[in-house]
Amino acid sequence: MVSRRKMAIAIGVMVVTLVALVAASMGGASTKAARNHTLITGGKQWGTVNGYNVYNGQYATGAVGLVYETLMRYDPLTDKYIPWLATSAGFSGKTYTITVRSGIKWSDGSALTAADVAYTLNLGQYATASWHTLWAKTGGATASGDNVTMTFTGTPNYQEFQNAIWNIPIVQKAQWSAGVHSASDVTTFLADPTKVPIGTGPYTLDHSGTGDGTVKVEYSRKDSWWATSIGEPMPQPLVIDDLVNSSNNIALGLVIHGDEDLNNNYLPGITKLLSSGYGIVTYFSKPPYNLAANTAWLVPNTKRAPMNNASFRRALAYAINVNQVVVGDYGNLVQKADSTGLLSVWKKYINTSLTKKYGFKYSPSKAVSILKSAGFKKKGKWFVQPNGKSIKLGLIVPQGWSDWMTAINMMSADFRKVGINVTASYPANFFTLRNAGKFDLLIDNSAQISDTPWTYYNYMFNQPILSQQTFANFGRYTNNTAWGLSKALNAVPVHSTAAMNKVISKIQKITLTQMPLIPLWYNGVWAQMNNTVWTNWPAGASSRHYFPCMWNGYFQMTAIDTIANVKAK
Amino acid sequence: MTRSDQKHDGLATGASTAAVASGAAGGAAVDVPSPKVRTINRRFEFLYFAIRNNKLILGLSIVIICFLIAIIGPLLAKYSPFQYTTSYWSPPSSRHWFGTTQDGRDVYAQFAAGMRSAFLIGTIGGVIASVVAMLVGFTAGYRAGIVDEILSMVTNIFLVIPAFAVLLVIAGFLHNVSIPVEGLLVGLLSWPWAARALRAQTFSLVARDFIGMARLSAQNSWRIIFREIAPNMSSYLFMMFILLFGGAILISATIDFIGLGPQFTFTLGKMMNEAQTNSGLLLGMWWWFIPPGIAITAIVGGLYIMNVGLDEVFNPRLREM
Amino acid sequence: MRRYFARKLLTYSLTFIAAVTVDWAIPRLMPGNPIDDLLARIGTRCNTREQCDAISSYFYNVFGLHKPLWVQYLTFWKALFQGNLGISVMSFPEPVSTLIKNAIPYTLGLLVPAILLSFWAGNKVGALAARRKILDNTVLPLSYTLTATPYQWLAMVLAWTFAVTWRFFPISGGYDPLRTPSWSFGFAGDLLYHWFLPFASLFLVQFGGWAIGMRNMIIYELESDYAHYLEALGAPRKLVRKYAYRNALLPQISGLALAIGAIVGGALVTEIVFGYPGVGSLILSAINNKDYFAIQGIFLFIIVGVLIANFIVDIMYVIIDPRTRIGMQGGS
Repeated sequence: MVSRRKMAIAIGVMVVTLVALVAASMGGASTKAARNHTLITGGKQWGTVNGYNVYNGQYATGAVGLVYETLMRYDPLTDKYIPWLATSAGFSGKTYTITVRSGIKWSDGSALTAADVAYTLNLGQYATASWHTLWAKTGGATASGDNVTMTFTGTPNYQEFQNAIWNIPIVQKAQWSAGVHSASDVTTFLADPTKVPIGTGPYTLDHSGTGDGTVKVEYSRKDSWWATSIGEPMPQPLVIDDLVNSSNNIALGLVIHGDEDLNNNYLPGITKLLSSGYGIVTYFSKPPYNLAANTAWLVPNTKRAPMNNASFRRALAYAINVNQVVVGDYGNLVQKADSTGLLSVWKKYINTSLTKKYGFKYSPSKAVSILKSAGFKKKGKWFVQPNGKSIKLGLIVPQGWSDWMTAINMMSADFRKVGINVTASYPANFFTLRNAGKFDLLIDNSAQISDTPWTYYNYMFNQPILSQQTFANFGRYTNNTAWGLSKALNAVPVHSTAAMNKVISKIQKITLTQMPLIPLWYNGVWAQMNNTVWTNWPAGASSRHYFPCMWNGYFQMTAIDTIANVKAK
Repeated sequence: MTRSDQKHDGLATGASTAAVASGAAGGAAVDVPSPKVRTINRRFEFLYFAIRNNKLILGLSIVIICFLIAIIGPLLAKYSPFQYTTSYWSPPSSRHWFGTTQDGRDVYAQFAAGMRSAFLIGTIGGVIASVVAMLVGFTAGYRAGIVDEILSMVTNIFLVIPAFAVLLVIAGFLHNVSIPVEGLLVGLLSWPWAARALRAQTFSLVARDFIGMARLSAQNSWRIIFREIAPNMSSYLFMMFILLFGGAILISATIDFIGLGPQFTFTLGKMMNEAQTNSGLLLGMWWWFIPPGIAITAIVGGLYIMNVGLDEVFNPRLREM
Repeated sequence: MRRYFARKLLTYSLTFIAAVTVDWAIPRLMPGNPIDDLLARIGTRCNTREQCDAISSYFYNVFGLHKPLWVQYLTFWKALFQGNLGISVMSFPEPVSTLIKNAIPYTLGLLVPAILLSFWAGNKVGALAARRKILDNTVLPLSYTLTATPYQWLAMVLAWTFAVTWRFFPISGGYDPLRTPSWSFGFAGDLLYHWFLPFASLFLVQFGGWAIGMRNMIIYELESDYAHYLEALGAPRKLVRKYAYRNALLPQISGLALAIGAIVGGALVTEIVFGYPGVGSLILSAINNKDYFAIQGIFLFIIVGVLIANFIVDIMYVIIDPRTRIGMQGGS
């Protein structure tokens, strides 16, 4: 009997210890936020919230947009720049002048000044800032009165600079200058979920709600927001909770149950649920359901044979049945890409006479005839190179990216059908292989929607080729004409559409005939919204043409308008 | 690690009971038959009781049915497991017996291929683990002394380190595990309990007269082990293999479920992984995730039940009265 | 007694050293350089080459990968004793130890009650079922089915039935995200509400195993000489069963020690199914994000946890079985 009592005691002690452990890890005191004042979002944050350093690319959802704001915004759907913290910003000669809006207050009560703006832009002196190379071409930013000026020493990089202006979040000089003394500080300062950022946006970080950042990041609305003075509605949600993602599957559960109002995960089954009474809506009620965010490209490694042969690359393009991927893999959630690969927001830059002449479409027989006329011969089942060497290629995507995994299975079957021996695989070290150029074919979508196709061409042709390609030109395509043209495009002022088109047409002829990259489909701005608690979501069929998206970079496009316009049911 | 690790090591301490009772593992309880009754009579007796043991018959039938599905199933499939058809999300029909996945692949074809993988990995994992367990267990038990000390320490170390965690780290770094590699890894990590039990068995056998006689006649150690010791434990070894076999299926299902399994072969664990990651649950696609689970439960459960049946056959005391 | 524990501690220390060495060696033995991959991943999150370079030099410094292997090995140990498991890639610049610390309470809260309650209930029910025809015929098949069920599958079936189809329970999470953790009944209730399904699926699978084990052990005991002898002496059946239970419990406890590794594995996949914010979900995101430092850190953490649990079971064994105090003094 003694033994049993002892065992009971042992178990009892363990249970008590455990309860204490769990309880101790919680702590703090707060109440449950009212659901009809709380907007719950999700889909951007994977893993613990990484804090509020807005320059390291991994900041908490909404840190730029809800807390920090940019000088300008850009609306890709209307192709207009929206003056934001600046009332005006633009080039005159080689000098870029920014007029800082007056009457804007930081969340600590102090006023936003030109000195804050100049301080922020001058963070570009540190190599870790993303605009460092741009900054180095100027004499730095100087503030005088409400104006901040930056003067280029040579020809300004108009396109690149304008793009940077609406993407650099403005930080408070007082807070940041106290903590930033070196290049590494620029990307690590405030990178901790327990630190409090000071911003100009409509929301402030709720410290107790966010806690250690393992579950969510929580923002509470300020009493006033400067942007109401320029006609922006005051956002209705008093609290915004952005939940940490654990899986797409769980996100779908939250959306179905109305526990998440806006979700930006890729949820493959969502179209099945639109009409099943859960109150779920998407931007379009019909295919492709979402706005386009970027182009998925097939990247051939042009340093390897036969991918160094433009005819071979062209044959690849004809061999792929993209529609099968669009329908079978994505359930129509994406759209087939244009032959130029440019997103539909850049329609005015697409030279249709060129695409008519050189554009490609799915045609296995055309693929075969291109190969044959380029000297490729069939040896049994497979094509061999003109020099008689066999062709055996690998097509890769990252392990775990299920939509792309399915896509390359379909695509490799297409290639094999025309006699090109391609095998699909999903290496865990995909990014190493991609950056080092150790691959035959892969899919990539690193270049995102922006205000200028220059970002796409920079991504395609960037020179010089290094041993590690970290953000552009993974196919290691060397074409000095094309690279020269994209530099020339960068040197065209932003609003001169005609001058831009002249350069872009020349580039397009190269992309269409040389096919350094093969455009496949447009990945969507995945967004599923639930009408149960909040309504008035952006929709193609309404006047609310905004991005319903919390991803980095989308707030300063139009996502902040989404937040400002949602209404409680 | 599988639940078969729970096999307790009663014999390791010299065991007052002659039997190793099973742990929660599934329950096999095994006994070393006395050498004296290893006669022709005994074999008839075995058969007599075997065909009358309901558990053995039931377990064996389940396993045989599953095995037949694994052999014949893939031949009947109308599609390849990786083939994309144009019917997406469809429930079971005459065209797709087990329905299709969200991207139009035939669930039955995946299931049949998964059954084959399960038996393959069970065999590879089971054989490798049994071989290692026999080498370590026999050597430690027969040699005793310092060899035993070292081998026991190694066994104890492997016993405590969760195989699951080691597999996780290895598979996390290996870029593509094939079924044989996965089986090898599982086998190399799941032998310790069996080795420990074998060592104890060997200990108690070595103490008996007939082994002593063999030793006196200066026979080669391995000859004694394989001629005298192993045959006396054949039933025990067989049951041990069954548990290791089932265990390998369960461990690999866990690894595959996390997404660290083979990429180019379908396994039952991979099916569950795909159903889970593609929201099969929320979309009500029961035909996708129910079959692989039932199959694993049937194979492993069948093996466990068979094991208890065998135990009752080998060990008269346990027979139902 | 002292020798027994000294021996156990030696085993555990060697196990720990082996585990740390394996953990240190695996990334270095594997084909390719995981640091490259890590940098490439981080590279996708920096906009310029300069930014990528700054981050990569940071990582090379942190992990000292240019140093000779033996220095790296010693550094690894040193860092370990300082509680430094490296910096997470997916949650850069958060330390891995912080991630683990946040996840532990959930995993323990799931594991410990599931292990204790299933052990207790399984043994009781198994003992009751032994040699009782009707009970045996129901408990035994049920237990075999449960114990052969993969953890993740039972979790999926429960989630599908009770959270998707009937919506009795939430499908995921550790608590309602609208709530802020606090010392209140409301929050505690919410925790329990989210805890129940993952707990139930862990409990059920283990329950089956313990019930079968105990049922078989009791039958062995009841058929043993001492039981027959007691019965021949006219001892009541109840008393005999009681002795049998006491004796049968000991091997079950050693079984528990051996089972801990497997149960932890089960808990991890169960967490994954329910998106329960414990170590299992953390492992999944570490794997999906190729966060090698997190994978390594979690591995070590699991090993240490299993070692501690084993040690607790060892102590329990000694407390419950006075014989071991004598028996174990002799060593093996």
